[in-house]
Amino acid sequence: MRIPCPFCGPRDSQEFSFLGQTGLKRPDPNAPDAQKQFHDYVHIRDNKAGLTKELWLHANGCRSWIVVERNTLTHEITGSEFASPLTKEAAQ
Amino acid sequence: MADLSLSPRSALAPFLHAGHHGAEGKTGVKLREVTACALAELTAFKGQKAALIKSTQNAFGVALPAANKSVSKDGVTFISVSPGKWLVTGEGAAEHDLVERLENAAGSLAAVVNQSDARAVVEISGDKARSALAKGVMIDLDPAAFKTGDAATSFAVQFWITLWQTNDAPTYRLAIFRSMGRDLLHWLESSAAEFGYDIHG
Amino acid sequence: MKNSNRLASGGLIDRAKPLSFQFDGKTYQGYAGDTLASALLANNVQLVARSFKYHRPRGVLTAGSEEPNALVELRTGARHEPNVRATMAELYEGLNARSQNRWPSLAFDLGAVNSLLSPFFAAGFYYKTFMWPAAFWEKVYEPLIRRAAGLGKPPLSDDPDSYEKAFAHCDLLVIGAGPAGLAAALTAARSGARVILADEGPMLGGRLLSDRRIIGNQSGLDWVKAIEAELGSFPNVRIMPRTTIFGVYDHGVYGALERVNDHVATPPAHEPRQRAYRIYAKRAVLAAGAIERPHVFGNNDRPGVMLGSAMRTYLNRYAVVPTKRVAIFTSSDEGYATAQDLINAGASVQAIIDSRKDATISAPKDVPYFKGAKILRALGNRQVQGVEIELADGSTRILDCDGVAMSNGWNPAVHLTCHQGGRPVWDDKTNAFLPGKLPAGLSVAGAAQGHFSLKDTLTDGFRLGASAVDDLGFKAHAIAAPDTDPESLAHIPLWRVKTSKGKCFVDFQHDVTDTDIELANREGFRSVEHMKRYTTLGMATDQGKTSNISGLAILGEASGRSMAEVGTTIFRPPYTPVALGALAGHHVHKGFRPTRLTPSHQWAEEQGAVFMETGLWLRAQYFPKKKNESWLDAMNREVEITRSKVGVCDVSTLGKIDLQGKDVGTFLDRVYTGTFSTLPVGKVRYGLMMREDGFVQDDGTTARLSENRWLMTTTTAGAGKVMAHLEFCHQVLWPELDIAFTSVTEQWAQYSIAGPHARDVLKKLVDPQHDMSNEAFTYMACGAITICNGIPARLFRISFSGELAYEIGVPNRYGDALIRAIMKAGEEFGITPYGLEALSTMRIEKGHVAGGELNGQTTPRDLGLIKMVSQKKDCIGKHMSERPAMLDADRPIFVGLKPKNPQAKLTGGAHFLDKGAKPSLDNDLGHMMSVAYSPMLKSWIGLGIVKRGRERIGDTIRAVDFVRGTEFEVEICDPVFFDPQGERLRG
Ligand SMILES: [Zn+2]
Repeated sequence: MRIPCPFCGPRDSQEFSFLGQTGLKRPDPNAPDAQKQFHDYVHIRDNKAGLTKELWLHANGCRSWIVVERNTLTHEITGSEFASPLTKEAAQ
Repeated sequence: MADLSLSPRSALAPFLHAGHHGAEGKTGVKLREVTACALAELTAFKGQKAALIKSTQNAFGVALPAANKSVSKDGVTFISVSPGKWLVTGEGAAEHDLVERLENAAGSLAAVVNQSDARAVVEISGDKARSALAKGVMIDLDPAAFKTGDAATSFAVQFWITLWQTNDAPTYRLAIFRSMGRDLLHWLESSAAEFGYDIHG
Repeated sequence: MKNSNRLASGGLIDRAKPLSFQFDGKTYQGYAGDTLASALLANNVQLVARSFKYHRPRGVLTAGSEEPNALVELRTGARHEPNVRATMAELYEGLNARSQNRWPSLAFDLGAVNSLLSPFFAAGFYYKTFMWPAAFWEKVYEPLIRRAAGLGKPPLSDDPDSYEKAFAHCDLLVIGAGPAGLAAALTAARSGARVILADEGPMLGGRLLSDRRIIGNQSGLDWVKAIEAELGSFPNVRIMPRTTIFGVYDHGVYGALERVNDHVATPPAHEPRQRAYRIYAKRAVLAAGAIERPHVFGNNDRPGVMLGSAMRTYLNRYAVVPTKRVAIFTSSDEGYATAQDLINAGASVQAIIDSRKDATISAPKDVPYFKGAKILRALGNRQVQGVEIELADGSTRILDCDGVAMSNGWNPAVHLTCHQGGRPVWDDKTNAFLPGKLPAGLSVAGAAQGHFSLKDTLTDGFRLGASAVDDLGFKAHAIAAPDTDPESLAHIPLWRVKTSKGKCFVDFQHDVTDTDIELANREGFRSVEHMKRYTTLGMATDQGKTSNISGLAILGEASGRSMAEVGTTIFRPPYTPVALGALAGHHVHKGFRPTRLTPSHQWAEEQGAVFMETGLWLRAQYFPKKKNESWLDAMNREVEITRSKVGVCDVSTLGKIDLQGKDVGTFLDRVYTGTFSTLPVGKVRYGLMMREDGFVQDDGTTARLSENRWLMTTTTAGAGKVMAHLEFCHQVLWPELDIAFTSVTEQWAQYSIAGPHARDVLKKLVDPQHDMSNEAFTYMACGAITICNGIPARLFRISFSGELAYEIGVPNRYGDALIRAIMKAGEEFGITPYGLEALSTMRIEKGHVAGGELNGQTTPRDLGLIKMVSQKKDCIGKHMSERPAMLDADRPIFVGLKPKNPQAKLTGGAHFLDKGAKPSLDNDLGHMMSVAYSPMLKSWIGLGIVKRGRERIGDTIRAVDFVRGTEFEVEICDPVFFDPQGERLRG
């Protein structure tokens, strides 16, 4: 398996470590139902079969956290981008 | 005070055995530890990359390289390792004032961290250097894909490496965590053995 | 010894290089270029193996990697290797092979009695027979079955050879160097693309090595030579003979096994035996050819029964006439080509038995020829001695022969196309399963695609080689396929001879017969997947290369379904077996994972230290003073001296992270439970770090070196995880914060000097301008200093041992020198080095949490560290750690445990129960996390969690360890066993 790092280019998946679904927003700790929101943030996942966006760390490479678009049914990877706008700017 | 002076020791000094090794009658690979070389990491602060490039251009006469590239001038080499981060090596006169010069150039634009002792740096050259490295380095080192001045942070065998090519001989430099130097050397030597290799002290 | 079956001339063997070899202790002669199989056949050795289940005599069926029968043990001693296919083993001087799976000898095998018991060994036998009693499975049935039915025995000693891994990259990978592969490689190579051409054999050419063909105006062999020479002239082409592409993985990753030195007795010095490659290919052309199908008739497994294509290989490539009086059993025009080649070689074709009633091809002159006929059975035992045939009119007769050549059409080698889940599709036109959905980037050329004629094969190769590299932006010039000599490939497969007599084998290697498949169908195993597992068809080491399709056809026939309806199972990697040694490569013994050495490693070795692994690091466990000093005695001594005088310990392995930027304080407040933004410059603070789920993940100290520069330490084992966590927090959660991280773990060699004389030792090292007094450099202070005449250093007054202690860091190059200097400076104070055992004992005496407690299941409250959690701010994990269940008063909490009998050796993992309580989950009070013998208390002590433990200090409970079989009474106490007021570290 190969993953395209937006900084380094395509690299063997051995260089990356997987975290999970992306697009989760850390809840406002001061919200009245913060505890419930944190519970969902930590535990509730879509677990989609098909096109997913996942967070990976290019751990044995440039150390960027990246978002990889992957189809879990076919393993096809259709794109990747920096998780952080800051990293993206620094990579320009 | 008693004779409590401290003498320095390079990362690989205890493990290097100068001379010819491996297959007899041929030398496909030459290995040496790069000592007398200062190392530092330069990390741009938020939103300061453009300013940092300008300021280092003034101080060092080169532009900080983009992803997967390195540039050298007057004994100083900048190697791109992460977005907004460079590994910098300094040899010759730069061995002694690298960190200071970087700090002066960076000012409040970037973090400068002395890493002179944090890595073991090995130089691998010879016409079989590529074949030996291919026994662990997962990226493509063919001249069509990786040339002098190219660089990468990657994974080899079981080490997180920074690799860059310094000339067309070809000659490569490889930096890894100092504590893993013995294992790195063991892998390099067993990979180079079939081609015959020299270790330069 | 004479090669009785060798032709006087011809073949691709090197007659100038005779080689002698041994089979079952007997010496024979062969030539360079032979395989073991061809050399055995040249010597008329027909019986080479016994079958898996019934121990039936077996000969050589094929001439390639699909061989199911001729498996032998190769080499001796530690290099002994079982299940080697004789058809792939290249002959070398002194080769020593033995037949396997027989006792006492190949010719007289007692196991053959299994054949008489065959009703019991039918499909599903294991499932039905050995059901009860279950206890007999492991002890009685399985060993018996394993001994009776099995393949070769593995070697018992370490493999003396080395194996390597390697990586390769190309634009186009061509799999198979037959005519299609050569054509594809040539087109791509001429375009300038980087090409890897891999073939499992030692020579390029594929079937052109076995059949005498004409391409354009030259012989097939000359055509191969010309292309090989041209390919060899390109710097962008890499030819890899003896290399099997064994697997196709995601995104253009291919697994390859290069048998670098399997063709010699022992590898030359510095060379591996085999090398496993991971090939990254942008495109690939599969040109793996096809495998001829056997016929299924009675005793079709007798030595002498061979595939027609294999017979032609032995004739033409090896100049061997495998058997001299051959009956041709064919359902294809190709049987006639075999007949012609046999006649050319001077062998006798006893008859052509063509199953097709209306075959139009004419037989060679004077050869008896039966249309619409079948072989019912082969006669003879250790070799064919004739066949009984059934003619079109139903009459039968016996024919004399010593061999049978079968031609029943070809199965395209679609195996690799299945590795990404593609399922082959039945094609009525070619009577074959053709590749289904292909792995991305892979195309299939030639016979593997069902294009069997040489001309079609070449056309495919040239075309697909070009389109693959055109895709990548190269400009390939079209090459037209040259004309080839005419060939006739018409065939109508005959899936089995229904009127057969005797056992008809479908899967030779697993001894699966046609009736096994019928039985499976009768018993309801009608899905191919069920039939496969019930009968074990196709599950042997050859993955059913010669058997699967016939098996499916028989299942279809038995269940009244068409081939398309039955479908097929899919093939998985590896294409052919791969030695585990090759997959492990360099990663054996100590190379299994990297070993990180500490700055004091060499010095510690000189002291005779005993080392232990913590994470990847090798750290000193203890320093035995004299030989045979036990770890406990050494540890006690090290603790006592450190607590009474002074000790030194290498703590360089702790993770160190340099943090810079104006938002570091804010960032630390968010990742640590405590507040750090208020930490003054020159001070250190202890920090506890949770995961977002509320459990503690790590702890350590963070120092503020200057206004905007901080240094965080992590646990040794947690360093990598913490770094990734911090990067996640920065890059994903709070990119607005202005911070820069750099790991500096390896930059600094760091030693802890602890004990009442710590300051005295330090004073001798630190340059005189620095004021080291208790008042000037207080507990939890830090600063940059110089030591030993100007060496830059960092000093931290922190203590894990509870003693007056300092951690001193110097650039790593001085690490070795510094430990020696510390020992020298400490000599007058009686300094001792201490290892991890003493370190651990001292921290347990002080009730500090470490690995045993930071196990990912404990919250700050559980560890008695709730005061470390600031209530004025949020931090990672705060909300989750305060869920009601986490704050439940019944949730076990951190305490110390002291056995009633001081010598009772406590154990980590023991569970706590009240006196008299039954060991049940309901009664479980908690468990022991860390234990040590405390030389200060002269007693074993422990740390653990106990339900309502803080309220029960002074109570006696039981520590029960069912795993180690111990039970002790222990008293619940405060976790700080030693110096509870903490006076020593401030001294
Ligand atoms: Zn990257």
